[in-house]
Amino acid sequence: MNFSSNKIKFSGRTLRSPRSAAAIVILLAAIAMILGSCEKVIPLSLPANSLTYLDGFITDKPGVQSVKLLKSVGYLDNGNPQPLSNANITLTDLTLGKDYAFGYTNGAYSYDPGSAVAIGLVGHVYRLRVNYSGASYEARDTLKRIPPIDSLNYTYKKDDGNKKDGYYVSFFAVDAPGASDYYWIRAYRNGQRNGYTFDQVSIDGAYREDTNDGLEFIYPIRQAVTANDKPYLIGDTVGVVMRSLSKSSYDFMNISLVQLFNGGLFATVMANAPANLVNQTAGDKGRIYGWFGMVGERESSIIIK
Amino acid sequence: MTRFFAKDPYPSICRSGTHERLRSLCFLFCALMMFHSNRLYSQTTGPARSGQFTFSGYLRDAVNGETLLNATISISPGGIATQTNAYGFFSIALAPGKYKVSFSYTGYTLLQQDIDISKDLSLNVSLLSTAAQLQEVTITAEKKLRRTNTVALGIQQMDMSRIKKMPSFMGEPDVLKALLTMPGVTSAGDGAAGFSVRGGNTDENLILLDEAPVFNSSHLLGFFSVFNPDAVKNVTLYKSAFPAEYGGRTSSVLDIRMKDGNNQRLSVNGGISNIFSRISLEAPIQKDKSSFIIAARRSYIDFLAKPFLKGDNKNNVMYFYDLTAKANWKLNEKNTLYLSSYIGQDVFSFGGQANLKWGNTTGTFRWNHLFNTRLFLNTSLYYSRYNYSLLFHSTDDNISQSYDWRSNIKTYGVKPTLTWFLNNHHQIKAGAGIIFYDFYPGQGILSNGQVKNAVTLIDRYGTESSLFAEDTWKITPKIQLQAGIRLTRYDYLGHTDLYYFRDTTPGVRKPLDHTIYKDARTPVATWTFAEPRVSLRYEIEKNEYIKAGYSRSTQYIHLLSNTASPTPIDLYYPSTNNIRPSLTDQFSAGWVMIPRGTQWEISAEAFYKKMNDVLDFIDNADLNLNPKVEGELLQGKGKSYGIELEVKKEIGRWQGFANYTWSRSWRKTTGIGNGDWYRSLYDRPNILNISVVYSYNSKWTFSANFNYSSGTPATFPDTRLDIQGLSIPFNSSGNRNTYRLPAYNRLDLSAIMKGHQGKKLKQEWVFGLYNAYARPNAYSIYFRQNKDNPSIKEAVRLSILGTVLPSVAWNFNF
Repeated sequence: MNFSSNKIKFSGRTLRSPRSAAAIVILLAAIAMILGSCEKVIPLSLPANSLTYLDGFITDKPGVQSVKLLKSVGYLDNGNPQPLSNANITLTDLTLGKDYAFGYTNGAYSYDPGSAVAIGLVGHVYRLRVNYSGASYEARDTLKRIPPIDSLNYTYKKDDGNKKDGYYVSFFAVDAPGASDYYWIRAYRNGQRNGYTFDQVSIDGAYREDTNDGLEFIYPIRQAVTANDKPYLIGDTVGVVMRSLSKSSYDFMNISLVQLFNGGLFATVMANAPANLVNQTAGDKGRIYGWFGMVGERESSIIIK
Repeated sequence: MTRFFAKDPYPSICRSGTHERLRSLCFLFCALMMFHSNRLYSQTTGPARSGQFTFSGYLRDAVNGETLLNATISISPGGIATQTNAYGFFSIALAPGKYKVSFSYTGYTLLQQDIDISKDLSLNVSLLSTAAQLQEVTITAEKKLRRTNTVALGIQQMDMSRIKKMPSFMGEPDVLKALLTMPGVTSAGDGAAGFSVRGGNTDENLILLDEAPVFNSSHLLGFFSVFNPDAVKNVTLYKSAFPAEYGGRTSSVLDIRMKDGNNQRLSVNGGISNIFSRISLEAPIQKDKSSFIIAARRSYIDFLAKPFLKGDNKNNVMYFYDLTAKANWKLNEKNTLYLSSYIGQDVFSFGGQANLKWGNTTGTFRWNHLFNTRLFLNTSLYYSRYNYSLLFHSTDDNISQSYDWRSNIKTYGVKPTLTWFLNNHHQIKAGAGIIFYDFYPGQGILSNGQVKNAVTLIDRYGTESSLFAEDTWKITPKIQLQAGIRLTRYDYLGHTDLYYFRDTTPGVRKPLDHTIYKDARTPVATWTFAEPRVSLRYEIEKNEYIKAGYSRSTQYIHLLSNTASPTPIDLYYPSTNNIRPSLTDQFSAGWVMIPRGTQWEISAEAFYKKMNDVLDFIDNADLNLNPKVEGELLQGKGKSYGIELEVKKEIGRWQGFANYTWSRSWRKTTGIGNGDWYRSLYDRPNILNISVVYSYNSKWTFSANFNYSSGTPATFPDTRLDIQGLSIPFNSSGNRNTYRLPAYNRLDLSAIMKGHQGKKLKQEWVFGLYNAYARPNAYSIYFRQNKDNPSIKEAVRLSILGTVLPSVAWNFNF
């Protein structure tokens, strides 16, 4: 029995929008208080299937960029997905008309333009071509602009039933004005992804088009880099990474993130993340799942003292 | 408009672009009614038919003057039997002579009276409740709306006294909880709002509170219903072959009638339990002529929780209340007026930052008019509104931000219904109805510092008009037919933005082509339907019947919800130029008997239901405050079928029922999975309910409920995509609901102890154990990465009721 399992969590990824976010959070908290709803990790045997998929996010940072072509494993299998080495992968900057041939080493396909050179440039359109198993697959994405993370700060909060004792970090950024911008935000604790927080996706620093253009990121997103059930401690290095996404990459991330915590009274029907690699070989039935995305990336970190 | 007619999938007889066929049908219908009425007036003065007279009247409770619905009046010799209508009125044609009349009703002492018919006779009859006599625990008189005395199938009736004896959740007797013990009724799990009838969706149930539709029947999600048990008189559920007077939903009709109020003396009922308190007051305004009831409830879980909360949580508010009121005036022997109203709200506020409210408001004005002893007219005017609002406010980090969202749906309706007790072979019911809908999908305002941005969706309007007629016809002493037709027309109106979408791959968000604002509030899209409703009953021998029925029903409003349980912020949306009305055909057949010399009723019913244009949603649909929401919708087919078996005993020291349902429910929507049939969320093949009430002595009554249900269908991943450190669950078949959660079972126990039964004050204690063996039934299973070690993947079972929930309630009456 765990009364604390459904704490108020504005950052909860149960939520597809701030409205359902609030409603669901409030109601779950109410239920947990009254009924002692409980969550339990259970043994479950699921049939396992295997798919070929791409983990293909390339940033605008200088230096080595890599993507992975993998063979997936069953959801509950403890093994890692198997890297596939026998593909040819080429990234093309369509704006410049320049090809980058990615070579396979250590489980990934990578390209090194030199430590000071970035192959990802804001505003450029890119094509990724994967030749694998007799077929050719292609996907395109545009690298979108990314504003800086202005600052991180933290405050100490005492246990109030919802939040545990500890340091709560907020991050501050201002959306780039004009046009819709899509972001993906992740928190790190001491160099590792903070598994207690949920990655956030955001439109213009809020949740919906045309509501927050050019403004400060809204409160629930600002403070989503701290988990109420495990805030930061003195000595922790807290990192925040923010990426810019194209609209289609945002849709991919949004669907994917919903699937990562899709429990509770208001769970939605499980949906599969879309794929953007399209098989160009006539008559070939092969498919590669996963996603190719070009992202702008900014980061910031703070040490709790 | 023509665009939609071209796509019309319905072989409806009166579908036409010009509505002329409908008009001519309406004309015919009206002409028929006029013809009947003229004949009627001529009957009032003399014997009805070849020397017959009318014996009519009202049946009431002797103590509080409440009218008794569906009470039975049987006449011997002749073996004629009839029932009172929804206002306690009955009418029988009799040849001159001497008769013995029996008036009977569940929980009341049988009354027999000799009558001498030599002219029309009107009687006001009062029956004495066995409970009021406080003598025996054994309840005698028996007859109500049950399978053996109705023509139609799939009717289930519950009176509050019965519901109050069943184990209840947190000590609060609940109409909807009781409903879930009936065959063919299920839900998505503990705490899920709404209910599914025979494999239909939760928005396909027409829930009427004194004829006003109720859009959200739940308080605190699905844990409590909005109906105050002290104000409810009678609950009738129609699962198939709905009477022609009901329409607008395809799965069921839940007709809840409120008490009229004690017209004999002041009476106060109340109860205090560990979650909320209720009180009701009823009294005559003018004895025998007019009375009222006013009933209120409020939960106080937030007060009780306060000492255990820390910091900001101390400011948390979480309560719900409802207020139910009704008054009636008997103007004279021929005219009675009723006014009833319901107001309820759920209020949640957390840490001063988030505030969520939702609630229903309904109002009904009714006028009963007796043209003569055979012609009864009820005219109802009603209003119903469901609204919610959500407010966020934050000044953390010295930045003032807020989000304010509100939305509602309003309904206005009028419905005159004529009941004509033509003779002992025909009882005709006919009427009309018009409903006007005003949907306000909502406005969301985000304030960030000084800047405000709003997303506003303007109102949508629709009207639903209907004409209906139905004859209950005793063809021979053994064969009865109930045949009716309902003609409906739905108009989606202008004075709103109209959206037009381009076609795309099914299952993908439809791209918007263009938007037009149409100013005139005139029809934009129109549909007309003829809905036949037929039931046949054949008496094999005394107390043994077979029945068969067919009904068609249509639905023009749809709940936009793609979650396991509907949430309070889901909104109803009308059929528009992009959303077709849904249509369901249902066939059913049944058998019922009361074995000679026993008190048991044994029944079996089978049904097959075919659904067209059931609403579904694309993956990851954005349904809230989305102006282009129609681009997120899909429409598909559904089917469900099953067998319901029940054994029931409602008399004696031991009472109860056991029912078993085998049924399946499927959906098929192009764009979902690979387009094959898949299990609906309500596909739970095996369901067993057992309910027992044992009256030990005049002080103690014990009861138990047991439920076993197959697990709810679920979609599980068979692989995962590890991308950027996230393990994304993936279902490689793409098919929905191919798995099931573990089977559900639960036992509830309750004991009622009658306290001191004084001359004035009567009291009782109700002790309950809900989920008595503390089974953590799975509400859902979801998948996640371990928070500390992301390489470990976990399947997590969520149980909404994790434990046994004890309750104590003290009820009183004076």
